[in-house]
Amino acid sequence: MKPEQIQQIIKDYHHEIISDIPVAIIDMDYKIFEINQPALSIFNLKLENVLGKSLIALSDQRWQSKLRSILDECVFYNQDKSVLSLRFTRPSKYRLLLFKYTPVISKDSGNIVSIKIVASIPSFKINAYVIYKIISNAFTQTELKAELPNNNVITPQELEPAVLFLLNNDLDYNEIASLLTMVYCKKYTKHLIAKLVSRKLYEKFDVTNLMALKQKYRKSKLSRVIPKFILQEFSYPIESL
Amino acid sequence: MDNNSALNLIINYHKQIKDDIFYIICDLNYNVLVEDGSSAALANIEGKTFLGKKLVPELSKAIWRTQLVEKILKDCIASKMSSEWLSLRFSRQQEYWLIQLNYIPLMNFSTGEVVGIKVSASPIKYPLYLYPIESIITAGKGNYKLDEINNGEFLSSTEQEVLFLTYHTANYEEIAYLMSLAHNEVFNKTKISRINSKLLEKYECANIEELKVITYQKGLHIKFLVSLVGEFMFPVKTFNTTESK
Repeated sequence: MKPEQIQQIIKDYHHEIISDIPVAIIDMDYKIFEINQPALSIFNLKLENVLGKSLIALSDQRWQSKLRSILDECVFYNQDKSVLSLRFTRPSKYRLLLFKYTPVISKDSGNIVSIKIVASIPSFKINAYVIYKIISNAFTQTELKAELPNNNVITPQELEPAVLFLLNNDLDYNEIASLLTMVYCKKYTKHLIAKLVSRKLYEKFDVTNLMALKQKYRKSKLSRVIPKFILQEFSYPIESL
Repeated sequence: MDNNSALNLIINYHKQIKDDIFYIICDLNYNVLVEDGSSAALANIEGKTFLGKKLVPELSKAIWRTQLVEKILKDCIASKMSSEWLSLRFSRQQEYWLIQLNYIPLMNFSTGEVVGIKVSASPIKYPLYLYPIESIITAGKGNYKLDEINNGEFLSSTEQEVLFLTYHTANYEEIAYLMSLAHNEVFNKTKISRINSKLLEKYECANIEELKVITYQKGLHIKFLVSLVGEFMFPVKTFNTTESK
């Protein structure tokens, strides 16, 4: 069976059979050839504006090269891929979504004929550990530079709450340093974090050890501050956490 | 298109196209009509096929599971809404003990009626502790559980459980409550305190904060011990897009 015929079967199926799950299907050139009503609703899209368009071109520019490599891997390894994505342009309920990219296979030839994309609201907690694992699994340093906006800098005022937040989530100095380095594309060392904690934070909180610092932090208003890097838009591929 | 033709379209489509890794399709009487070809073997289903079997009661042997799956399927048909469930079942191959199941109603566009249900499965990529621990333990309470095995490891099974719970809770009362819930026997604060003293000694820690850090560093905080839970099906969020329409 020719690829066009298979594509027609997929189109016909999705026109006649519907579900409440938001689904889009792209061809092997990554152009959208099928998208259902729930998906259009979530992304505030009009069918005529997306049908036949390249998914990559429609995506955020910063994300395009990574998206292409995810789709390439999905096809090359015949594997499904998941991406956790935060976008403030979506309706509030759907700002944080988990996208699953699954290869669609013709049973006749065994070939991948398209990719199905399904969106869902993540059902698991997103804590500092998850963010750390996702970011460190997801990107090389160069890729992160492309992913993150140029103005992604952290001020000294923002650094302290970020370090406290991560300390409170039991990340050690090394992990905090590598997470901040990845997110802000600036070198943070274990030594620098240790110095910040022992010289500045101990003094500010009037404590002499880490345990006391964490306890005082939990009782302070600062513990309600979520670091900026968690609140910025992102698209993180998820392997295993 | 009438509902019979729609059902035939679903069957024919899935005979030609595989658009999920693991899935089955059943009709409104829960007869399995189509399968992906590999999941029956992973689930250790007799004859290595779901075809010709009924999702309930045939494939859900425990009574609680039969009743729950039947309710999920009925709800799926009545509400026309999909639902997601975490499912722990020890009869599957070990890699697939814990999976996520999605029950998706397949509707005929012409009539708006549900004509079939797709059940897709995927191994979860996130540690189980990212879901509410108490709810997970409660969901498995009284169900089939694996025996506790102590392979002469550094920590006994109970110590491993208490260590995991110490990381995720605020005090001994909470740990005692969860341990009692999991094992159906009374664990009081004193008993937990005694176990924790042993843990402090074994890891040479001066206090609980230090113990928590070691738990994190060794990656033990993500290991939700199977001995804490019986088999379960736990609902995760339902994707409801009706509000945005």
